[in-house]
Order: sequence, then structure tokens, then C-alpha cells
Amino acid sequence: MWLSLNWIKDFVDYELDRDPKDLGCLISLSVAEVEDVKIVGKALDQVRVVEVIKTEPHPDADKLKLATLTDGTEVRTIVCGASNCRPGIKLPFADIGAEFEVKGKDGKIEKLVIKPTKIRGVESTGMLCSEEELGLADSSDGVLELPEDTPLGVKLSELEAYKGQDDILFEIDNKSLTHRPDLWGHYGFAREFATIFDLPLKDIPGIELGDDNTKYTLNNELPKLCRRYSALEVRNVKVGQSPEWMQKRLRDVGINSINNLVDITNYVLLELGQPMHAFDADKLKGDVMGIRKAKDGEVFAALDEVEYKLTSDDIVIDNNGDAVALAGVMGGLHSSIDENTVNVVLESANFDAATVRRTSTRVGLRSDSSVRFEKSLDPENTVHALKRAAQLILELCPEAEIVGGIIDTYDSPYTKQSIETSYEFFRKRLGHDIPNEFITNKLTRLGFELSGDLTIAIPSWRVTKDVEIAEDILEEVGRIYGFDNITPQTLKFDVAVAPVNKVRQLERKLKSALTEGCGFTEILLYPWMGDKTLKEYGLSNDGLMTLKNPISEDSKYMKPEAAPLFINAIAENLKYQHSLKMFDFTRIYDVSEMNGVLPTEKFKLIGTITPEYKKKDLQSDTFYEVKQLVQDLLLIAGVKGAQVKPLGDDRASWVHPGIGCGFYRGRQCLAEVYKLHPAIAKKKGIKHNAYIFQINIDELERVERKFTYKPISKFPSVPFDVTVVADERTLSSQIEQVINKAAKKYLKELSVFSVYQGEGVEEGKKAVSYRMTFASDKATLKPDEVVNIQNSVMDALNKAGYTIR
Amino acid sequence: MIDDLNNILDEFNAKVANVHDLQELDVVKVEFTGKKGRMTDVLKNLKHVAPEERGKVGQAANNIKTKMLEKLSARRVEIENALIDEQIAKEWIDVTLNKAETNVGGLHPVSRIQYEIEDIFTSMGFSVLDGPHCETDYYNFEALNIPADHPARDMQDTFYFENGAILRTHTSAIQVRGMERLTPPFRVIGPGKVFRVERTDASHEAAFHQLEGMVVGEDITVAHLINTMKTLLREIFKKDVDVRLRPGFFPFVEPGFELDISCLICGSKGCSVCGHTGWVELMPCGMVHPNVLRSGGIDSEKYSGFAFGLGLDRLVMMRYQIEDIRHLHSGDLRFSSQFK
Repeated sequence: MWLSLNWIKDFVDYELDRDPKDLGCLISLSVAEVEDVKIVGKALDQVRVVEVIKTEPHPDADKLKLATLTDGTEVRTIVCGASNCRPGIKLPFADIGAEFEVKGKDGKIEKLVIKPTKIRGVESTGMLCSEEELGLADSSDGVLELPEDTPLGVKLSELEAYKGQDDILFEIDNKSLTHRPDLWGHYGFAREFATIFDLPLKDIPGIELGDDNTKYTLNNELPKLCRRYSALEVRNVKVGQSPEWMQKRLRDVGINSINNLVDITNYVLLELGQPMHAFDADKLKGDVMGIRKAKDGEVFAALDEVEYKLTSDDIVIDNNGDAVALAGVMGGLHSSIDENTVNVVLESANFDAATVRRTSTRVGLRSDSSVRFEKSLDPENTVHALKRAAQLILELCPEAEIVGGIIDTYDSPYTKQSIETSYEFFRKRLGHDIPNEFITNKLTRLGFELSGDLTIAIPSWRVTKDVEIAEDILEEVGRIYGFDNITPQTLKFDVAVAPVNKVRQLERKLKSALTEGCGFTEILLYPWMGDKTLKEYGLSNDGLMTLKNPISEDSKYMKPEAAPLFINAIAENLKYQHSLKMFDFTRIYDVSEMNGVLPTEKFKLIGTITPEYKKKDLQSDTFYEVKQLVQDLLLIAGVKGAQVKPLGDDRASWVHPGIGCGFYRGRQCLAEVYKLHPAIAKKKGIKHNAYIFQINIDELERVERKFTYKPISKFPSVPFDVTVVADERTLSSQIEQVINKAAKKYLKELSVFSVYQGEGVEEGKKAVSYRMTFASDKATLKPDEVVNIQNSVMDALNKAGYTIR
Repeated sequence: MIDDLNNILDEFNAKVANVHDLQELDVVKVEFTGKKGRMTDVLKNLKHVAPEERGKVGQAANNIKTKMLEKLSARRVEIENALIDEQIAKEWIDVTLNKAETNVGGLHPVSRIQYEIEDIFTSMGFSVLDGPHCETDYYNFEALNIPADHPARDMQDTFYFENGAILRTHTSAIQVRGMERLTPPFRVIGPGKVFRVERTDASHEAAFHQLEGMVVGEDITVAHLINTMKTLLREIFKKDVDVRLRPGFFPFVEPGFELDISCLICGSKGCSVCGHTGWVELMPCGMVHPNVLRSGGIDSEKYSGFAFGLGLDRLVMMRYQIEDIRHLHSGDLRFSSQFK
């Protein structure tokens, strides 16, 4: 919303005492955010009226011409590019030395100083100006043509039509006015100026209306949704153009001039923040203006010449059974003002904010009226607006006849509401010593009534929405005092240990191990996926968290698994990378454990090592590398001795059936390591061998990393190597179990140092060499004891069906 | 005898001079000074020497043996040094070659900034809370003093689920969940992803990151809020930044502020980043609305508090001069791997 400083100055005698930008900044800090400051009309002082005597073609450029000008005393020839420059017209001319502020291409205001220049070889001393260059319009074609009777040589700013054109405009961010129904017009801002600068605020302008008898009556069926409906009959108006001053004010704040009547309703809207509507009385069939709900399916032809289908949630203004306006949103086409309108009914109403908002959202019409009604307007204001409109009508069409009085329905009038608080409360909550006098003065200027110590009555323009409790008034005191003027204070520190978020701590430990010790890079992925991805990975959309309004079909469901999007990212990245080491710490949305309407969100750490592609390379080493990595990460997380088992038939469709293991504690799966299933790899265009791990963080959260210390043994240990020949698909973990059981407490270490297949080992078998260390905690093992342990290990292995060599 | 001894010494010297490796040197050592060596023979044969000469010859023999041993160890050192020289001369590698892979990877820049800020807060006694992405209307709106049909809901283009749940539109949804579990005084932060229905472009994303903060206790004031924000920003930007508080409307705080910082790109002179104002809008904040405290089961007469929300993506983009917000969730290593 644009504000004009001149307009504000109609109500408060503020003299600009600072740079306009600084004033904008002050408004931002005390009232509402100023997004832009525009200075208009300053250039009018810099140009004088000239007449074109003759034009000739430029010798060297088709689109340029040489124009000979006179200002009544001097004759000069300049280069001009405007197509409408022709002999006999009068124009504004900027001489050497004139200074302008023009908006550059990036929106930045730049200073332009007129200097003698050579344009295609011809010297030019001065410039003919367009409306845009003079700041009179946002854009314009050609130079500004002045009326024929304009005197030559005078400054444009001295002409009657251009007097008072210089103004400062502020663009206010509408969002920052969401809670301020009173600031949707200039008068509200004038009140803020009066408060900030301690100036008197003038009364709302308007004329008193008599009680002649209008034939119109009201029938408000919805006193709850239309708290007040006020209207005024005016006869014998003459529709025509508005005067330049009104057109300019409207233009400056971004409203197009239509005709004097419509302009007046817009003018009042912008001045007082009260939306109005004018009906052509001769197009109304009845004398009763009704306020009712629309009928379901009722069709309404609006001013914008679009037909809207209404529902019983909408409010309409009814005349003789026809909807003549969609309340608070837009007037009707068939009762609208046109050039032949003579008699009008002016509407100034107070509609329910939520209803207007719903209607305007549903029909997709956000008008200057609806944005205001949405903010819960002051019901006291409807009458002010009519009085002001009447005043303007008489000013613009003196022959018009106001048929008073105002017809009005107002079932639950504004009653004073008060808040009990104390001066001390403001000081205590702001943490700053603000004197009582300051609080009293400023709040009074804002329209609050203070009494005792301390009762504060809320003015009608703030009570509808914005001010309810003492904290709301705290904001008033704070912003006018200036939050920047409050001395910062350190928080008093309670000596207490802040509780630690264990998941977050674990997340950071694991990420730091991966990134700082293992060369992994973290990526972030979206949490959603679509049917296409679900199908590719053999997942069902059954019961998933489904968005009603997704950004696209591909982002409809909250992901139930971490792997699919991660595998997609593997495929994407391999387009640019030879090998990958990356991970994502993410959440899945598990709908198998619902908590009301919410899924259980589980943290997953998913990662891959995808080595460089080589033909005929099984790369099982990478599998073991990843497996060890996961074992190490689990150890960091505090898990020792998780059981490693091949993934069973319940594995996901993207897991290689023969190359995948889980880390289990009891029946809980803590982590998985697997090779990407070749079928999925092919589908995704991945020719590399991708090894993937996933750690189920929630399962680890409850584990503490514990260390148990034993004194360093004084007794020597004895090594023992044994090579076992077994079927090639025998799991080492099974063989190790046999050894463990046989050697009992004497086994201190057990490791595999070689796995061999080939010459000397039968086809389909493998030779696995184990290194063991035996020792006792109580004494040095005697040679015969060692032999006994060795024998029991070998016996057990033989019994289990393995060959020893 | 003495002559014989001198001959042996000459012979020894000649041999030692010709020896070039340690094994040969050991052979010479054994030949001359070993138990069955030449010098031992000489000493054994002393009994054949005239008694009056015996002492003289014996002494000479011992001197020569000592000389030999000295010579032998000197020669050993020489040979060893020569061998090292030889090894050094042979050994050379191209030290500029890179043959192993790095073991250093990188955190995503959002994580990096988030952890940095978490650390600042935990050092100030804050704890870190998490909340769900899928939320109820209650925690995201109702409990935060944003009833249905409140125009503030316009600002939040909400993702709705078919079952009535929503995706949280701000980390403020963590506030009431946190308050339900905590008893004042407390200070908490809640970082995480939030979601809004936005057409994505270089500066808009449907999924982005915020960090919520909240302090509740007796007599918490606006002055505390300002100080905490200034401290935080000084730590984040590693220098004093100018801060200003503007009135801002957020239903869950009263009074509510927009906190602006002086534009770090142009040093407040005005540039395209700050829209020529010299200020950049950084974080909304304010005093917790009494209704919100009550939603969290906290006595709003006794306690007051402040809350703030920080957009992490914006900070990340400012810090690393990232031109397009869509890189953040791209999963593209060409982006992420630059933050090693």
C-alpha cells in the first residue's frame, strides 16, 4: 500500500524535518515496514515551458530529429527522439544544469544532470521531458504535451495544474498491517505521526447530515456477520472526470481514476480505510437494501464482468431479490455507476472478517475492500466515511443533493472495553525505565483513555482485533519509545546443566566420524516422493502420509523408506562423479505406528561407498569396508558385539539377495549393509557396484558407550593357527561360534587371516585360516594345557563337519 | 717376531682397505682378531720367544691387536655410511603425486551452520529440542494463538495431509510441545526442516530450515531478548553487527518484532541484496504471547519469555554466497563436496 505524505499532512501539521529515507526508516521502526520511499514532482521546479517552432530530420539518424524551440525570449535547437515532438506544441524543457532523480533499471534512484552532449554528431543543449522523467507517471510515451494556452518560459511547478505536485510516497508492506485495521487509510497513519512527533491530530473531515426522509430502508438478516450497515442516498449527481488534485492523489498511491463518483469512494477508502460502494439508484428495483446469505448456486454478475457461483457461506446485498453486491468483495455489474448515473446509494458497511476472507479466497477475488474487511474493521467508521463522501460529492458536484440522513443498522454497538494493568508492568516487561508521563502522553495520542493506576480503555479502531490484553499495549509503548532505545540486559544465569539431546548428539558424532575420518560428504534430500518412485522400488502407497496440495505429483507422499530417494541420488551423482562416498541423515514417516493422525518419524543414516566402475570386478572388498565402517559407527554409538546375519527374505526389493547383512541386537535390526540389487541398478542406469548402509538411529539412542577395564595380564599368551576347509557358502560366523564354544575362557583373540579358494582346495570349498590366542587370567598355561585346548578346538571343528589341514 | 707382527699388520691394513661390505669385514675380523685368528696364533707362540723379549713382543702384539680393532670399527662406520649414501642415492619418489584418497569429507553447509549455532546456544545453557515434521493443526496454529480463519494463516501456505495433519510451517510448532515437557525456567532451541507451499525458484523453496529459540522464566524482558539476539549475531557473524527491532506481527508473540541486521554485503550503504535500505530482515522474534504460555501449561502471570526464529538457509546463502536455494536439497555432490 502506498502512502502520500501530503495526504497525511491534511490531518497533522508535520513539517519534514529529516531526509525522506530517514522518515521511512522511522515509520518502519515505530509503525509498519516501509519497503520503498519515492520522491515525486521535484523535477517540476527544474523545467520551463517552451514551444516547438520547427522540426527537421537528424542528418545521421532516422529516429532522431532536430527541434527548434523558444521559451519566448531565446531560440535553441536540440536533438529529440520523441515521436510526438512536432511544430506548434508546448512542452516542458530541461536546460543545462537541471537535476533529476530517475529510477534506473535495477530500481535504484539515480541522479541525472543535464549536460551539453553530442548525439550522433549534433550538439544538443537540453532535454524535452516526458511524464515519466518528471516523476508524474510510472511510464509514458513521448514528451509531455501541455495545453495550448500555457504561458511560455514559466516553470512547470508554477502552473496551476502542477502546483503541490511534489510529494513523498511510502510503500508499506501490507503484511505488516495484518493486525492493524486502523492503518489501512491515511488518517490512521496521521494518528501515528501525531503520536510520534507530539502534534495535534485534526478531526476526521466530513459534513453533518440532516434527517430528510430517504425512501430507502434496510433489512439486515445477519446482524452477527454484518455488524453494521450504513447507507446514504444522493440525488442529481453528474458523473464526470475528477479534478486533477484527486486524480493525482489516487495515481500516486496506485489507483486509476475512473470517474468522480467511483474516485470518491476510493478516496474515502484510502483516507479512512473504510471500503464503500456506490449503487446506481435508478438501476435498483426496490427500496429495501437487504443483507442476507447467498443461496447455494446463486449466480452473481460482478463489476469485473465475471459471473461467480455463490454458496450459502457468502453474504450478499439484496435488492428486490437480486444480489446487487458480494459483501465486502465486489459490487454487482447491473447496478454499477456509469456515465449516465444521476442518483446513487452509497454503502458503507462492516462485514465479518472471516466470512469476507473465505468468500474472497474461494472466488479468487482479493479487492482493496476485501483485504480491509479481513482485518476486522472499526464499526464506528462507517458513518465517518459517509459524511466524508458527502462532503467530497458536494465539492466535486455542487448541484448534487444529499438525501439525509444516514440509514443505519447497528445491533451491537461498540462499547468501551478496558484493561487493568499498571505502569510498572510496562517497565517490568520491557526491562527499561520508561516514565509514567511518556506512557500516558503517547497512549492518549493513540486514542487510548487512561485513568487511575492504571485502567486503559481501548479505542474502537483498535478493539476489534488488535488490542485485547496488556501485552498488546506493551507493544504500543515499546514501539513508540523505540525498541532500539531499550538498554540490552544479560539473562540471569541459573546454575543448571542443560539437558542433552541424545539423538542430536549421536547424529553429530556419526556425521563427524563419516566426514572427518572417512571421506564422506553429506547431502540433503526432500522428504517426499511420488507414485512413480514408489512403483519403481516396489512400494505400495497404501496408508502413506498423503498431501492434499503437493507441489507436484512427484512429491505427494512422505517417504516411508530412506533408500529409494537415496538410490536415485546415487544414479544422479554418477552422471558427474566416478565414485561416491556420501550420506544423508534423514527421517522416514512410518505409518505402521500412527500416533493419532501423525506417523512415527524415525531417524535414518543412509550412505554409500560406490567405487569407480571396473569391468569384471566383484569388489567384495568394498562390501567388507562398508561393513567394518558400520561396525565402527555402531561402536562409536556404544554398540558392542551386535550379531551379524545375512538379511533374510524380508529384505527390501533393492537389496542384493546374496550380499546383504544386518546387525542385530536380539530381534532389533540396528543397521544394514548391502549391495544394490542389480535389477534396480539397471533400472536406474547404475553400472557401478553400489554398496549401501543404513543405520536405524532410533534403535541406538538408548545405548550408552561403556568401557570395562581389566588389569593387564601378567601371564603370557600362546598363538595357535588353524586352517579349516568348508563349503564355500559356509558363514565364518558359524565356524567362529564352534571355536568360541570349544576354547571357552582361554580364547582371548580370534581373527581370520586368509580365505583361499583355488589349487589344492576342492571345487566348491574354501580354506579359511584362523589365528587364535590362548591365555589364562590366573596362571601361565602349561604345555599340556595348551595341547588340550588345541585338541578340543580341532575336535569340535571336526565334529561340526569341517576338515582341518 | 716384531717384524712378523708388522707384516701381519700390513697385510691386515691392505685387506681392510679392500673390503667394501660388512660380511667381508667380519671375515677379516675373524681372520686377524678371532679366537683362531692370526693374532691369537702370535700370542700363543709367545712361549717360543726368548723370555727377555717376551714382554716386549707381547706388548707389541697387544698394541697391534688394539689398533686392528680400532681400524675395524672405523672401517665399519665408513662402510655403513657408504651404504646409507648408496641407499639415499637410489631412493627417490615423486612427492607431488597424489595416489591415495582423502579421508576428509564434508558436512552439508546447512548442518554446518546449524551445528555452529547449536553450539553457541548450548554454551549459553540452552538445550536442543526436536519436533515432528508432520504436525497437527493444534501445535502449528491453534496453540500458537492462530485460530482458524486468522489472516496470519495467509502468510503460511500450508501443506495439508488427507488425514487432516499438516507439514509444520515453522519451527514454532516445537514451542508448545517443548513447554508441555519442561518446567520453567528453561531455555531451548529447536532446529529443523519446515515446509510451505511455494513455487520454487532461486530464492524460494518448499522445504527449508529454521531454528526456533525460546526462553521462559520469571521477569524475562524485552531487554533480555535484545541482548541475547545481539550476542547470538555477534557469534554467528564473528563481529559486531548493527541490529534494529521493528514492530512485526506474529500472533504467538506480543510484542512481536522483525529483527533486521545491517547489510553485510554493502556495509549498510545500500545494495540490491538489502533493497537499497542498508538493512536485511533476519529473524522474527518477540515476547511469548500469554495465550501461548497457557497452551503450554505455564502460568502466564508468574512467567514471561521470549522466542525467536532464525532462517538457516538464508544464513547459509549469505555466508557462502550461494546464488540458488535449490542447491541445498539437490543431493548433488558437485554442490555439497565444496564444503570440505
